[in-house]
Amino acid sequence: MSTLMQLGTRAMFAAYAQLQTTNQNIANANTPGYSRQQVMLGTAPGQFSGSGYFGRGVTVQTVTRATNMFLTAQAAATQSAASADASRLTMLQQLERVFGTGQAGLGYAATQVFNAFSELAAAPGDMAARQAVLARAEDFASLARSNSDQIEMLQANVVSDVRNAVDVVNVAAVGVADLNRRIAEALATGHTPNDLMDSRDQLIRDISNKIEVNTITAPDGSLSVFVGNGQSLVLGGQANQLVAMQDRFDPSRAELGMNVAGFTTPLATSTLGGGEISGLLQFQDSDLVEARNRLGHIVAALGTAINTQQSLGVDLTGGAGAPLFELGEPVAIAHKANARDAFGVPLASITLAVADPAALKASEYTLEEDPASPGQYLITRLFDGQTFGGLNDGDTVDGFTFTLGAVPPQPGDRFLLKPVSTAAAGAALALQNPRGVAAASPLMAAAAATNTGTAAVGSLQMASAPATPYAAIGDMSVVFTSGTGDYEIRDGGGAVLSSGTWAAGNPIAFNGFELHLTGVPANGDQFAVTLTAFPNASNGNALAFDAMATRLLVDGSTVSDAYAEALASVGVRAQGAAAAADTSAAVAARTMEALTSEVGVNLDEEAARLIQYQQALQAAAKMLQTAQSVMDMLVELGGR
Amino acid sequence: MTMRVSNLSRYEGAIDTLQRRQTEMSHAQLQMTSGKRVHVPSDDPTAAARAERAFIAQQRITAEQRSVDVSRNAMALVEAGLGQAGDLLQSARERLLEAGNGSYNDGERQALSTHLKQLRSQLLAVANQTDGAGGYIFGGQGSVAPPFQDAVGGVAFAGSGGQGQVSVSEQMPTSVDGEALWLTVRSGNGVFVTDAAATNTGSAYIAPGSVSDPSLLTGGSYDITFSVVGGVTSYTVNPVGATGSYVSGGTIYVDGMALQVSGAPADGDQFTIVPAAPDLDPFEALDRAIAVLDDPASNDGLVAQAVSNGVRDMDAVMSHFQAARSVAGATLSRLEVIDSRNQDRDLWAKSVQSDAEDLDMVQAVSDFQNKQTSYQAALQSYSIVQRMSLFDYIK
Repeated sequence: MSTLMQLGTRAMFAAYAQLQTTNQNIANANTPGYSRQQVMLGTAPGQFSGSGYFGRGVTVQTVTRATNMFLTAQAAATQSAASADASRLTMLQQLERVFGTGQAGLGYAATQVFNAFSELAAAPGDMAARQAVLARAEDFASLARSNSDQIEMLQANVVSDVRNAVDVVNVAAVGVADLNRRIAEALATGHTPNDLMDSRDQLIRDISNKIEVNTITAPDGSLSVFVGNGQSLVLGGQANQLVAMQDRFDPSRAELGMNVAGFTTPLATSTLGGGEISGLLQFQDSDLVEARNRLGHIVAALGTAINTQQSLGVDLTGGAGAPLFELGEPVAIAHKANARDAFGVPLASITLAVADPAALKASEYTLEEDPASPGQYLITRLFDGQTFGGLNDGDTVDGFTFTLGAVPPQPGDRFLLKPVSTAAAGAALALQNPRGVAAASPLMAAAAATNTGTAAVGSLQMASAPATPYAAIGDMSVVFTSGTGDYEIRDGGGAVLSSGTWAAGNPIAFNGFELHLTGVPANGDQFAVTLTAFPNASNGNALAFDAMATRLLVDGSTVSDAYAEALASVGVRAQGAAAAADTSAAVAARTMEALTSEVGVNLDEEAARLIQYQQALQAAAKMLQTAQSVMDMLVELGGR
Repeated sequence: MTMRVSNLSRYEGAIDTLQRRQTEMSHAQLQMTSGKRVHVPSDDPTAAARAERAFIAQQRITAEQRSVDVSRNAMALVEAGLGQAGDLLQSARERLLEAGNGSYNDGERQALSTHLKQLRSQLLAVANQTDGAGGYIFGGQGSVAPPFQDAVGGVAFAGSGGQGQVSVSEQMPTSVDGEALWLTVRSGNGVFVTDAAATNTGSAYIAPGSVSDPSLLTGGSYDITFSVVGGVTSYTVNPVGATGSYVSGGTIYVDGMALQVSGAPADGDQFTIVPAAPDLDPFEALDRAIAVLDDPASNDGLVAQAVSNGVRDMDAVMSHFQAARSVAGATLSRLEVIDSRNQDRDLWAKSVQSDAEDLDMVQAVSDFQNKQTSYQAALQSYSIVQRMSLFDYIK
């Protein structure tokens, strides 16, 4: 009798447990990170009796959860990759809006400046045309500044996003450590704490969204989490903190570090793998840096070239033109580990200056002592890794010159050189007075009326600043002394200043000017190269400005070509990032689907099992009823 | 192992698909609304760069066209100015021929001289013509005051030599070298200049002369002195030393030059021949003629010489101006060619830009309809499949 009751009770309990677990599954069907739970039933060992082993019913052993460790780890890893690509893509899409096309672009603004000079060349004395030149120059400078501001805003966004992500990771890491402790305690009871493990898996997934992790399960059930190159984020019940620190070279950028026992050690970005933080740092270190360099390069090359051309011309006051643009100064930043004084100011400093704008490159550089030749310096171009060794104070590399400060670099000092990146941020119009636009050329050339050859003046250009001021020399004349192109340059008194042989297509150059002739000069032909008699009506320098549109000012390209290239380079990166994001998102979705198909809840399945367990419960209840009626029958028998 | 699908992933997956289809559709819609295939560089980076370059090229061509217009206006003014000057010079020539009429008395010559003075000042006004923008078309490379200044010694050039240009890539002049054009005409007949000495008292004058044999020219100076002895007029040509008896209107051949003296020279009258130089200007020529006509003491010979010289000089200046006028005309037609070439280049740049970034509307509409269909299919399948559940059938 009691056996029957016991069997019935056990059966009911088992069916009830199964029903309860099915309800739990249905209730949590839409909970993210929930693993389907299942009751493990076992048969109670049979009891020996003279007529055989009689079974003693069912026992509920434990409640397990459906889990697949491989798929869980895979899902987290692919999710990391997808997050990294997605966050990089979002930032790149914002970055490519900075480089506008057509009328919104810097190439158009620069062309408008050249066109304004072309109009000025038609009427050099016209104040309205001069004002127009200043207005177009102002447009260019303010567009450059605004583009630079947008880039810096993206930089600030990256830093703040990294900080937020680091906070999320740190909170989750503390949570994981806490759960590790509780799970270890719970496992000691012999049963798996399913909900705690689900929570821990969810936290790990949250962390891997931000930064890729590797996990190792310890024998006591706690999960250790590692980031980067094997730095431990969570070890058993102990959690370390990630830190968003300032980049050691450039304080405006962010770097990831880990705080272990009070010491913050930096984590190299290349070792971080996937995750939003990694995507943001990759964007900052490669995409944003290139965009900033290209923008600054164009502005520095063009601005410096225009300022130089101003100085080669004459303005309405009769003097050499003053600079038209103000540009951001090149900077050299000391590494955090450089020798510093008591106040934290670096002992050594370096100043940079632009020497040849056409030779500038769109890159940043590092400077350190040359290990191959002590006492000299090694500069590395970060864009492609090219090194320039054996350099001394005052040498010129890639168009810029570096000068050591009062204190030379200490042993181990390193500097980050930014010759062009800062140019756009500080771009402004320096000249306000339209009379200061140097449209006039200091010299003019004319053929003498008595010439018998077919040569005529093609153009007279100021190629560089004169070694001797033109006013000191006075009027000059180029006299051909033979029929084969030999010439002498004589001053007003007839003294020979220079001589040479002219060849078709080559200019006659002296003291900074270049005279281009068309046709063929005969023996005795003369060309007067005189000081401009009427600077207000001379347009020579304005024509030179106009011609800058086709000169190769920016590292072998024209300004508009360089801008189109910058535009395309950001576009290519964004396009590539979009394709990568698509692929990694698809892979992550596939993996997640595989995982949830194993561990997720299917409502149809639960509905079917509901019926199954309900029936089992009914059957068990019926069994109890039967046992009850047997009992009644026996009692009735005995009571007669 | 049986394939399972968890409820959560089913819904997530379906929503994901719907979102993606919707995004694709709205992107296609944006393209069709703007007519552009490339909005941001990442849509097609090489096309974006190509379109940008073509756009900039169009801006530069616009600026060049403006320069062409400026040059065209200036050259048209030069051509018109030279035409006017030619007319004035023709008028002056006619007045001078009139002055050669032997029956005119002093008063009539005075009137002609006054007319010539008027023509001279009109000619100076043409030379100092402005281009309407503050410059002077004959001022060369710049002049802030009228380039031709009338001073005691004659007209001086106060501008600069050479031509003003308005482009470095092409020769597009905006002015003409006034000094070379107005003040450096080759004097005489181009090779040598004949003139009478101011002290002549006869009625003879020497014609401009011509070159009979270029190989015999020496480029030196000569003079022909006449002596009248006993009614017989003879001449001596120095430094050659040739002599001969004089016939009015007869040709004297000296060193490749054919000279003609007409009229009746007095004893001791002298005529000079010097090499030509580029130093003639119409103002100076008119001044010389005016001086002789104004002076009541001028004898017939001097008047005849002044008329002959004046006509010769007017002819020289007029043919010089004619040549310059045809140069200006040639420049104008070259500017036309540049203009039409620029228009072709502009059209080419526009088509490059359009090819790179514009949308093929037919293709786009067809793509959009495809996307619309697939979005509809996704919506429909979602509404049917996601609704089905076992719970519907369990009572």
